Amino acid sequence: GAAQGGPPGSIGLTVEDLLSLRQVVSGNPEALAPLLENISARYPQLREHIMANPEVFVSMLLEAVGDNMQDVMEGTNDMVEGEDIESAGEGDAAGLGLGQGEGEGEGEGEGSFQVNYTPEDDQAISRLCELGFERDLVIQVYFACDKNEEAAANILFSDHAD
Amino acid sequence: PPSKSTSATKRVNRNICSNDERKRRKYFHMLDLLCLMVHGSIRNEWINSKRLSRKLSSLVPEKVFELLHPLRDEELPLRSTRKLLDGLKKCMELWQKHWKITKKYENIGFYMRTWKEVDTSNKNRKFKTLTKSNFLRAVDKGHGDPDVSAQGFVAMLRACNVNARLIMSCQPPDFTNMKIDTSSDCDVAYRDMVKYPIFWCEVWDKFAKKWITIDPVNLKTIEQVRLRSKLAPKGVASCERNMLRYVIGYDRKDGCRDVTRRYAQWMNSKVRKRRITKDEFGEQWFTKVITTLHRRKRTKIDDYEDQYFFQRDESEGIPDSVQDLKNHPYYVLEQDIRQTQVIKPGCKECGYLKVHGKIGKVLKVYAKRDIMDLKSARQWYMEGRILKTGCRCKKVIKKNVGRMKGDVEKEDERLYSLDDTEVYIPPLASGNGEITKNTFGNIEVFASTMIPANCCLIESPVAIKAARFLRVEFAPAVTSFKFERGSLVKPVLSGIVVAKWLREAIEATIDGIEFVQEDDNRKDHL
Repeated sequence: GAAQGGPPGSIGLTVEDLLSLRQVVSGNPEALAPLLENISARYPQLREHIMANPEVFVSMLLEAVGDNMQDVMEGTNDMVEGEDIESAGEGDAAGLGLGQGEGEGEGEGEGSFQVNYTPEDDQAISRLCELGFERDLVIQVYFACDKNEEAAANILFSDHAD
Repeated sequence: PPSKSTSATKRVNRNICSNDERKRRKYFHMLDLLCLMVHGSIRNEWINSKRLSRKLSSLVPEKVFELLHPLRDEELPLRSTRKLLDGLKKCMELWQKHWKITKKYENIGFYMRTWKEVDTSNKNRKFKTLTKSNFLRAVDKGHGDPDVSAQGFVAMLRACNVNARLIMSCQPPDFTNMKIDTSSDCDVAYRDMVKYPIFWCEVWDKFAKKWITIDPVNLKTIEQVRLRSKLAPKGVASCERNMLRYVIGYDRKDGCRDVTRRYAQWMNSKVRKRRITKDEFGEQWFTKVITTLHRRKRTKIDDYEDQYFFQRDESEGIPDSVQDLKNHPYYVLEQDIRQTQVIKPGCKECGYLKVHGKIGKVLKVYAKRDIMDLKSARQWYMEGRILKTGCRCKKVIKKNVGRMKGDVEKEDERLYSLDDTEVYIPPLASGNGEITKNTFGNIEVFASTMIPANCCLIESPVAIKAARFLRVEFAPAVTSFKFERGSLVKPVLSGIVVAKWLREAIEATIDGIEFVQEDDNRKDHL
């Protein structure tokens, strides 16, 4: 689906495209060139964005990164705010012996998806959930939209409404 | 038209791509570079994993740890540096033991692709994604490709509380390559391709106030770079897929800096031309990307590094070919000094260039800081400046004044330097708001300083209408010129200048007029 979601002024990538881009950027150099070709072809407006406001694109890629993306896309993640994601879903992480149940001290840097919520963010997320979307998905989309509630709602409705 | 098609075939023969393709390549280069830099930043975050640190720090025995943190030798700081270097060497040996299996890259990894390869890469192929947990496990077990190994090495040093940077040499496809068919560009053996690394490590030496370079995987070397680094690719075969242009350093506090200067011996004369930063727009673009990735405050270490880079710039010196002097940031050939430029008084050439093949022929080279830009009085006025009384012109040039092509009438034009001018201060509006106008009944506002101090500029297509309606004193404002066909120059009246106390009244009237206009439009459409 090459639907060009998102409100005008945003880069307008669908959540799927954004997530696969993030995944490839973080762990998959071989696939970067073909994916970028593909995305540039489907989003002609991306060129202007990259030229004029690369910083927006960089922040979008940085906001939430890594293997937890897959989990979110499949809706299987156990992610709750602050909970450790590294061992979630991936049984083999335990095989590493990288401690289980060591929740402490992982506050900064470790879980790449620990965003500081303000009460306003929390309220916005609750409102979006009331529209009938999974909380995890809402959180992803909300932050991907730079905390723009309206933009997040647009994306949720255009891409994820059943 | 037939002429067009012949020029097109000519282009194919010359194997030079179209202008659109050139722009597309430039854009793709930027997009790819941006993603690669984000990749480096993400990997840098991954290796800060605390649990990984705990595992890796156990690899380093107490004795080595002590070497990594030597006491300051007050007598001879060099001895402290020596110890640190010894410690790093030990770490490199430890790492080589720890890294049991160095896998080959599946394809060409992070090395540079040709345009052909970018265009024909298989879009449907399924690629294996390295997730964070798999990455951490690979580092812990010591299995993986050279990139993962180098990243793990940085993680181990950080685990020992060493200020270690992850260095990545980004290899987006070359936008300065304008060939249509780039398929013959890359015929490189795997061995040659991987000779020089993509990822390596730098460690801060607080005694020498310099960064130490370590490549623990490829060349297995430690160096203190002075003019030339062992890590900069040499030889045609190795450079094909590894063109040193963007070397980015990521530190443990999420800082991100461009450290290309350390590794590029000819940064200003050669490397710069291959970078997106070669023009003003690209420079600003690159700065935006790097400042977004740089997520910490400036430190003393940054100052020391900038100082080092400055020295490297100074010592790079004058390039040794005419080609490298074209658009050089610091030097210019005498023959390339423009007609509107002069050499500052008291300055002379700073060097000479021997012309290849012509014995005895030398060209003068000037430092750009010794060159001064000159402008005519009119050009200065367009920037809001006027000549100082009593100044003398620096140069007189012949200028074409013919309005039509083929007209060869020439006229003298006097040119002045910045020092010959001062900011133009327009006269204040009088008590009843009357503004001094030019002979055409306008006021010229090319810079904000050209608005009288007690006035303001209001830009709107209906501003003049509003002022007339209110019957107040105003002056139509010429803010720029439009160049039309047949060398017609038309002033652009984009608004008005009025006394400050009239601002609110004018703005309210403009709102009113716009509202009425919209209303009329709507009625017309009904």
